[in-house]
Amino acid sequence: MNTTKMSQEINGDEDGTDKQWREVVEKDLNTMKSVLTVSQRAAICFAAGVIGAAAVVLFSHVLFGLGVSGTLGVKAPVSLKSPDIYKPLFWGGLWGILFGLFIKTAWKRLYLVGFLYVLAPLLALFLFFLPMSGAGYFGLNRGPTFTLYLLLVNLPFGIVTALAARAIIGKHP
Amino acid sequence: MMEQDMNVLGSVTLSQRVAICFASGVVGAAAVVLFSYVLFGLRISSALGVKAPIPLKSPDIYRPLFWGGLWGIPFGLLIGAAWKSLYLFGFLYVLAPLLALFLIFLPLGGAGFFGLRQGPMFTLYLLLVNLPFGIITALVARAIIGTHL
Repeated sequence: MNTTKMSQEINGDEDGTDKQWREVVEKDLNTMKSVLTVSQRAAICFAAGVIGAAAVVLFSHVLFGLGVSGTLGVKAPVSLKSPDIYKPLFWGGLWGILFGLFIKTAWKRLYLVGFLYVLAPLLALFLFFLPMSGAGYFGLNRGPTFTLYLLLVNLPFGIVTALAARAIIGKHP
Repeated sequence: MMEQDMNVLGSVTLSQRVAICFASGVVGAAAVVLFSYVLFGLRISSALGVKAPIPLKSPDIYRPLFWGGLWGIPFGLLIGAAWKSLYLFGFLYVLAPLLALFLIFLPLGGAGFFGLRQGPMFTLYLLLVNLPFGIITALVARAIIGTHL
């Protein structure tokens, strides 16, 4: 009798403990679910940035094909020849690393942040790389339509990077 | 059971592995570029008939780095199977891009199979200079992925 009761108590305790344990584990696992480290997010976004840059290259050919580039005074799309093609793709990856560092913060508005993220490389281009190459701030030495073209052709970068990062990372950053 | 569950949930997916190994491959390729300068500084390159290291100038530098990333992709596809012997596998993985170089790219570039038209020393140089690629890619991938795949 006592033994049976004790056994029942033990089973009851085990059931209770087991239930509590399961709840704790489930909670922990939910917290842990697909949590990537910052270096994992940065590496993934490097790859996503390369895809974003590939979208820009492709878009430059679309704009060229539609005659938009010509209208804006740009005579050729981004070169697909080696080794020229690798430079924009690699730089896209580098900008992707930066995107990866704060993607978790921006996760709830990822596509909006992604779309606006193109402003980061564009500002670097307008305020640093173009003046360094002699095209002046915002590339204005080559006319305002050139600035407009650069703005337009780079538009897909952030959003495509965000889409690719989301596709690779999944639901939880 | 619990540990198994945590490992599954803490793991990275195949596409995440591929993306991480793409980035790792770029670092592996950067190690090859750096190693070409070490060999040049130690005069090993010139002893093997190679007069200059890999150029650091733009846009030439981006090509080996990007191709390193591309070779990181199949590495990422295989890393799950090779996880237990990752460093050995990584070290040997250099054979994949080397074989492509020896059997496709060099013959297409006019240097013949294994680059032998430029002499066997050139082949030896290519073998040597590319050695860090796989192991560095593996080390970086491991550092990013962590202990559990």
